[in-house]
Amino acid sequence: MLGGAVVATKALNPTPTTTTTTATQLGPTMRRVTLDIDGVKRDVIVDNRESLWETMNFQLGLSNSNLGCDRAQCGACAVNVDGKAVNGCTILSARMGRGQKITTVAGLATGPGVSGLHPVQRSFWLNGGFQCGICTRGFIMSTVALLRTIPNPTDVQIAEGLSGNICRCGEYAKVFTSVKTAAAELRGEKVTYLAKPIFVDVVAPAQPPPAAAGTSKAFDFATPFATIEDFDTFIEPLKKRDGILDISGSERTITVKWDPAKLSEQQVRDLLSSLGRAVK
Amino acid sequence: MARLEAVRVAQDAAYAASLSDADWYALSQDPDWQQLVAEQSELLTNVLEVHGHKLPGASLAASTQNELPPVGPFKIVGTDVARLQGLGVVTSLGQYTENMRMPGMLFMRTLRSRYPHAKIKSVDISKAEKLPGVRKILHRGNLPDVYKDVFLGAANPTRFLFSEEVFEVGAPIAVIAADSEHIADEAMRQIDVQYEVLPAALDMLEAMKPSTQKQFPNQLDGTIIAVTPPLVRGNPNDTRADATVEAVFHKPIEQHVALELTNSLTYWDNDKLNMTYTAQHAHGTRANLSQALKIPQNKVRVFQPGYMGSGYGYRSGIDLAEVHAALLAKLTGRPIKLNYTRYEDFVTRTHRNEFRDEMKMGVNKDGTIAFGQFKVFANVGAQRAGAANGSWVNMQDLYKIPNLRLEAIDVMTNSYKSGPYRCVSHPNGTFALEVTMEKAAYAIGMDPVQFRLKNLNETGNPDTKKPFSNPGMRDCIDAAANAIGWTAKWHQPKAKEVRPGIFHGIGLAAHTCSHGAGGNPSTGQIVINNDGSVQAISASNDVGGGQRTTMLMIAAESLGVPLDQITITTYVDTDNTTDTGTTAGSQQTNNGGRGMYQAGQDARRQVLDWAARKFKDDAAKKGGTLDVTAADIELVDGNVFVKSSPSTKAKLADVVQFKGGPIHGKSEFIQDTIWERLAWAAHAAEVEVDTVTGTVKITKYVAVHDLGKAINPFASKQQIEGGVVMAVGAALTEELLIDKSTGLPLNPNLLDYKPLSIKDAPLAEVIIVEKPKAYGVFGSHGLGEPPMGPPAPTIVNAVYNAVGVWVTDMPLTRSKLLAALKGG
Repeated sequence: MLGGAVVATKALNPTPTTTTTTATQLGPTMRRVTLDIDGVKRDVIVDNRESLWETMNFQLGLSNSNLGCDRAQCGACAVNVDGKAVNGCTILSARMGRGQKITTVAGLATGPGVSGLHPVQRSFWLNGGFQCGICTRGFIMSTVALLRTIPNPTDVQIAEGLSGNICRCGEYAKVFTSVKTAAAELRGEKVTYLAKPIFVDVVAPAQPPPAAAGTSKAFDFATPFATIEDFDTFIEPLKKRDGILDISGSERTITVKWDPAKLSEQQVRDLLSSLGRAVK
Repeated sequence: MARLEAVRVAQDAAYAASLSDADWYALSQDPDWQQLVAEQSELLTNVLEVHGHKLPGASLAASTQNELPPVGPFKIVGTDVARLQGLGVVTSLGQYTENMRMPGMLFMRTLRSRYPHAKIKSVDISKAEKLPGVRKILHRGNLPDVYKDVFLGAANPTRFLFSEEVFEVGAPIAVIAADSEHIADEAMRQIDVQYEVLPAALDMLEAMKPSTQKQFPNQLDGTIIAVTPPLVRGNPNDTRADATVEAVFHKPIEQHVALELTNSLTYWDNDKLNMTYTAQHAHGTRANLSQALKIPQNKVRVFQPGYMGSGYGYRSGIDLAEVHAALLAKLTGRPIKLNYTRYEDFVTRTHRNEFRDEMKMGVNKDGTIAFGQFKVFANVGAQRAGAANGSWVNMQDLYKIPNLRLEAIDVMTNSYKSGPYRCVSHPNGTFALEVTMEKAAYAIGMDPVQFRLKNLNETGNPDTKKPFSNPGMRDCIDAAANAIGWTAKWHQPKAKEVRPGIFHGIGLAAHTCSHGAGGNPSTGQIVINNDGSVQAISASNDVGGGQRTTMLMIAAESLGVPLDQITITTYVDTDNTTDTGTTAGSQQTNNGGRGMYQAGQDARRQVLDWAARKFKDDAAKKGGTLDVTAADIELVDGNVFVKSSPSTKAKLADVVQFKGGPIHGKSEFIQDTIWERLAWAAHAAEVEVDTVTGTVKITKYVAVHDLGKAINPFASKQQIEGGVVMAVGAALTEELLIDKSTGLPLNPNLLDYKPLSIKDAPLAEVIIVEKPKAYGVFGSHGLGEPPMGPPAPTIVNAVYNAVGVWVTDMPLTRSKLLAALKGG
């Protein structure tokens, strides 16, 4: 015991298995925080040493990411926070309570079965982007983040974007295949896979979301943003404009998808200039 | 009766001779023995020569010639099928052991020795156990008496649950069960341990000297554990040769680095232990736990979820930590969650050991090999183990070497313990032999590919006289040479500077080893339900190679149903399966797969028999007769019909309903012992070597493997291209280091021990050769491990061809290459 006077309304030595406590009963190492995981807000009490992976896996039982090293050296635990791939093992849950949006493999599918999977999930499975699969949840989330900013990546860009994910089974060859096939499907192209699944659908396959017919182009900003938050703020009004279908990008680039029936490329360029950021 | 020590049986002739017949029966069922058979069969050659006839089934096996495999064409075998558990992998649905939790579970942590050799004088847990949230601390002082004599592996040096004398950094001293890992960590820091530090043997060559202090009773010098009786053929010391080449090779310690950290979830249900564990062999784990806890096997249940972050050889059985978890679960009455840290997984589990090879080969100008004198040293770490003579296989079998002397010495040191790691000791043998062969070819001015082809042994084991079955070694070498463009591209060393300071090189290596052969037990079951749906039941653990998918494909093909009519669980539960061997030794295609095949054939026979009876009964009901037997019936795609009159047909469901109960097929199979069952492979590579930076860049890589028959070519190609990445990492970047003054591990983490990332990995072109084997399921020979053999010598040979230096000390780092170029 640590000794010292006991204050009437506050316990000095917390028992971490406490389930219902008021804020005044939390000990010095405990925090209450609301985590937004795959669109669901979860109110949890965490030890301030607890990583996001620990909270999601042990406290919440979500099995949406896997641990490989606990030190941000292997990427197995990668999830997305506000669209960027991060290592869940080295993020403290107690710091995730400011509305950050955490997304994981559990939030990607839009329906049941093979056809309901997100293109990245389906591609990693049917193109053999894994052997044992322990790294795959992390590879999928890193790939989702990569394709958000670079919809048509080269092999070099894929390698750079996934350089933080280790696959010990060594299946990198088919990781490239999986990423490229998924990227093609996300761009609206028809794709085929290397292998067939064994799967008996019990529900009629979900209707795939209508491929948003549109024109997509990546631009470079004439002057890059200082931070990704600035970019995020910039694109908010842009998203609401009529004819703009989808936007992704980073501090330096912006990829816009627009309805060619409503906008031309020059009009998109003019729009960006009028909002304060011309593109090359 | 004291527990039998499998490794001691292999290494100590007197101990082996002292065993009774009952001991030999028991030994054959021991999981440690079975793992040696699967992964390190060479360790057993000598003892089996003398005592093998005492093993159960031996006389039966010798007289058995198993049926030849069917020839095809096949409907399912040979097609590309994605993992049957894939949906679970890419979503959150699949539960890996590390994802699992139970209400009330406690977390376990282990306090471990920081000295490589010490006596534990006292352990004071009084402060630690008062920490809030600490539920139980166990150490030698309060271990229940009944467990004080329990040890794992073989004795001398002995690894008790909590040893009084520890022989390695990381030996367990106390284990803590607490409400969270953070509290357990804090408790560890508050345990007071008094050590008496003892001298440690940290260098293999030093440890072999007579002056090195012994650490266990031993007739050999220093801490030498075993000297294998040399294998001698012909007259190796006195045969003349036109040219003699010599080299010394060194391989460092490599580790599996399975990305799912070893972990388990353990609880007792009444008096029955339940453990979910990252096992490659649920039944073997069950047997290990049963022995350690002194309870019968039916009081232990091991669950392997099928979602498993591999193992690559180090998780067939348990380590001390798993026994500790079982004891903590018993003493606290709570489930115990045990997650190794990456440090613990690196240090306390096993490794591919350090090797040293002294090679001398005599060769004649006409291209024939005159003699070979090969000596292998293995540093087996802090335990009694054997590894050196596992490197003999290709030296013995691959080429015609009429005069041969093979030696093997295993040395104990107070450092990383050896254990099976994907291909075990064979990559070392291939490395040493294939670079020596290359040296010999250049010494007589012969094309290295032609030199190999000229000396190939294509008959069988020259010493035991067992024949090869349809060996594909020549086909593999030809295909590799062809695919890399050998004839057009091979040149003399240092002859092709492609850019200033950067030289092109080309190299090839051949490989053979005993992995993939398959063995006993080969069990499995098929159940056909009354709706015609089929269940395959197998204990073949999936560790990432897609073993469950392969089992399903074999069962479906054998029985005669389409893939969507048959299922197999992702998981293995020892409560409702029979052992079919470890998923190691590349053996599941021929172990578990054989179980599936035989069960399918048995179920098929029963279906045909019942179908005949049904058709006769149908005819009788209509007032006629139909004279048919099972031989007149066919079963294809889940439908039965009379061959001569296909309109007389029925579905599987109809047949089962006619019988009035499920149809149950099972495998009763003993593998024959007629063949020398070997894997065959050849790899080739082009490199560009930068003589300024010392960088080796692989510009083209080709890997050719003879699989007999690829059951799932999609999965087979993955094994090959993944194995190449793993083994190239071992050749270029991986080594586990130790501080020679303190014995402390230097780099047990993923930044300083460097497996290849996607930026470094070579992308191999894979070619599958199929020369069906008489002993194989559908003619197959297992895979998984053989891709690990050729990469190191392929690269070393290519580097020699590029810049004219031999780097025989792995990994081939830039500093070593630059030193060699400077004339070191």
